[in-house]
Amino acid sequence: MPLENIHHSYLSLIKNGSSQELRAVANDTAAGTLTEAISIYTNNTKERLVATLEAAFPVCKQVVGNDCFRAMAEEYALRHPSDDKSLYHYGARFSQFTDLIIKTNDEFYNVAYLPDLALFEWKMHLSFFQKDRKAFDFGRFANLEKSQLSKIVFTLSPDIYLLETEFPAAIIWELHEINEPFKKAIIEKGKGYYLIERPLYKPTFTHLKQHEFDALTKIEEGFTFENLLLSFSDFESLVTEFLKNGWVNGFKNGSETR
Amino acid sequence: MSKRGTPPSAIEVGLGLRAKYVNYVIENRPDVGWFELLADNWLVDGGLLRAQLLKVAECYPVALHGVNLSLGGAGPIDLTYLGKVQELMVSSGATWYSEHIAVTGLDGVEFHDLLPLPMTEESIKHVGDRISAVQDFLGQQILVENVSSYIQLSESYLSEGEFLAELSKYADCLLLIDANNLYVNEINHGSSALAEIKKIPPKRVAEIHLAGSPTGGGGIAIDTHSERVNDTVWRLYQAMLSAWGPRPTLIEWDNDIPSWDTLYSEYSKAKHYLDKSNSNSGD
Repeated sequence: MPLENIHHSYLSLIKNGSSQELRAVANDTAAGTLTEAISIYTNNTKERLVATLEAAFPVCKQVVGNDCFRAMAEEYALRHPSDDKSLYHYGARFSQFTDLIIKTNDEFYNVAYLPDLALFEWKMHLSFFQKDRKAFDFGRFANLEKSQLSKIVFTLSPDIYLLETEFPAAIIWELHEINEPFKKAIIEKGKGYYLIERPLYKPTFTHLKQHEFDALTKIEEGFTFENLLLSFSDFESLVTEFLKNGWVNGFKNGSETR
Repeated sequence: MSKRGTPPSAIEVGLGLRAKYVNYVIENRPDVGWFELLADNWLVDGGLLRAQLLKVAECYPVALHGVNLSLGGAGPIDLTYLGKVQELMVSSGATWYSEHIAVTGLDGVEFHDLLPLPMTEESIKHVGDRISAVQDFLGQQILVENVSSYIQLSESYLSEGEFLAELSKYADCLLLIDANNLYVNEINHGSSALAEIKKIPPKRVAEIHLAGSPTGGGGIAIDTHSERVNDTVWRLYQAMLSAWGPRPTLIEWDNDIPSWDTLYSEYSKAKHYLDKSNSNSGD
């Protein structure tokens, strides 16, 4: 089937960079050679993926410089062809990719924080597109029986991402925001616990204390109210704060989840 | 196959709405007939883009244009994706949805580019059946667009105009004819854009796209959407209006995006030709 052959040839070209099959089903045009034409298609795909990574990881790009970032992005595009129709989802493994890069290239010794920074930027990027928040239903909550209350599971607002990092990723990101020459800043290891959120339109972040981070993580994992009260002696005050901040915005019957 | 949808009817000039212009449009409400939204850029669950989309759709007629459905691909049509497009059509009140006659992904790999199909009976049946599946899902006709191509597939034996005429008949769909793509293909394949226009049945043509690409450099012409519409394409546009009558027309500008004023001057030029065609058709 000729059409099947053409499909195969396109897949080989874009996925593996091999033009051999396409050369068997296509010819030069009146205006140029097949080699020139093939490079237009491969470049188009590559350039879109590189531009997508540049848009999603602007601070990483600033840290390593334009040329270095471009080389990294091209390599990433080669190793990870897009598998989602939405380019907003392209780049999910970029943090792991940067981790591999810094572990295998000595010249990256002074940017060991790059994987954390990439992950931080990625979560900010994702938060931007998430569903809008809905208000917590205090009326329904107030009407719960005591026996029901202990079994409920709180839910986090859809725009929220929790992040634990080895380096203070948010500090680097903030320096970028105020346009400081952070390339020269000395970045030392130090645990970071963050909550990334988008209350209205612009993603932002909050530094969390470790036990706040742990409590929010357990909420995200679906622990019941009863279990949360057992795990955290101050959970009632914690959840009051989470509700006030709009971080917890719903609840469901625990039996629905676990 | 059910065809409950309403074909496009507003015969006005529209603009491709790109991110650079969104705030300007919302704040200033410029006089534009309609806007075309690149569906894939607006398929988000919430946040700023969603709010902007609803604001624009509140003030202007909008149409959706897709680049990732892979009408020419293999395997089943991605109904999850199409469902999101359908939801976007409902929330934006989009009058119509158009896609490309191209392969944009295969076997889970997305190309983010429009790769051409051979112009054969086999392709007509293959793509036509997939267009029918999409129309059945959406419950309305869609518009399908001719693409620029840079390679000559050796199996092709139909001309571009013949292919589009047969495909639209087979799938009972509408056509979006991109004048710049006809022009690019004329350079790359030695066809005659004017001759191809005459082969396309007017009743199938529901929209025309206009865009600009670099000219005069020799070699392969590339569809960059990065410049003003060139004189040859303006002449083609006038030939299209003469052959088919007035049609909704869109200015696309996707790279090296200019100031609003520059874009609007292109809009005004298209409007001049379309108004002339509208008044001739009313005589």
